[in-house]
Amino acid sequence: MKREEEKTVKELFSSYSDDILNYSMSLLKDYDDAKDALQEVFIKYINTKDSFRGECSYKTWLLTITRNYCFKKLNGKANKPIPLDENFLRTYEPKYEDKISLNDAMSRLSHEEYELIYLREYACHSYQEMAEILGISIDNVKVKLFRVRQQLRKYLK
Amino acid sequence: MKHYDYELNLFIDGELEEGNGEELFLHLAECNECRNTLADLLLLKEKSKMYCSENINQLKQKPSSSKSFYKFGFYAASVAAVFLLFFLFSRNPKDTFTTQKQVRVDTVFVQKGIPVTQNQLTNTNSLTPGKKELIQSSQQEYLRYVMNLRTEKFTEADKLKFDYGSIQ
Repeated sequence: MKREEEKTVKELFSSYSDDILNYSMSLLKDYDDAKDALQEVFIKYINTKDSFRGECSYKTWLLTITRNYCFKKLNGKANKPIPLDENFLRTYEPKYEDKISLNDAMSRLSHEEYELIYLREYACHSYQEMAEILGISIDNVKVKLFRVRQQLRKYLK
Repeated sequence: MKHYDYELNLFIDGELEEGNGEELFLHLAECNECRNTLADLLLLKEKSKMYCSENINQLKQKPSSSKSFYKFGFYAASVAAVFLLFFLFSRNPKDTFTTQKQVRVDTVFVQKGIPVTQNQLTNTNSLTPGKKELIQSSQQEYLRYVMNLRTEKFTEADKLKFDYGSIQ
């Protein structure tokens, strides 16, 4: 690897490693797996950096790689979280309260639903960036986010 | 009356197109339900952010599964080592046992096919005083002596070395 390329990788790592780690942690729900993901993302970046066409920012591209890696890993796992559906109220047994808290509802979101909330509220990405990371249109992002919020709003105290 | 839930979602994210803003504010001034929706969405936004933040902090602070695995492995190995040592030192060695090429009688190794007396004679250091003379005087007497000694513990190893029928 040339010195300039090495410098670029170092800069990218120092700038975006936290974002990648947090994003992969929000999807994988495990710190060790997230660290593995961070490593894999940069290995993937080094191997495929020539294919980067500059249509989006490096950050967006790295987060897209992170997303692909995480979902590939998640598909291999048997226990997927139960998606928030219409039967949620009937199937859920609250531990301490009769009313379901927002946190319980959030923990029951599917990976796709949770990552929308994460990317918007925690990582503060714009709709444009979210669309690029998720590989969908901006209108689709708007609709999906709206639906998730509508669902979560029911559990707001 | 038309409500503006979808537009409110865009508004709280700062993604509402410029032309729609005025219409939304005029509606908000009149519609109590939409004002409640806006308040809910702002609260939801704040709580969602807090949840994400707490979730990530919890995951970072949680002890890693690999560390727990190694910790458990260390304790399991320690217990196994203690048991192994206990069995090793508490168990008495076998009096007699045979291997493929050798026969071990007490602590004396005897090669197959060689009369026991000859072997015993070669290992005279293991004999108690008096035995050596006894062996040298008569093989038959020695064999009877050995048989008398081992009336209670006559093993497979003894059968290999002695022609039991001829002695009797």
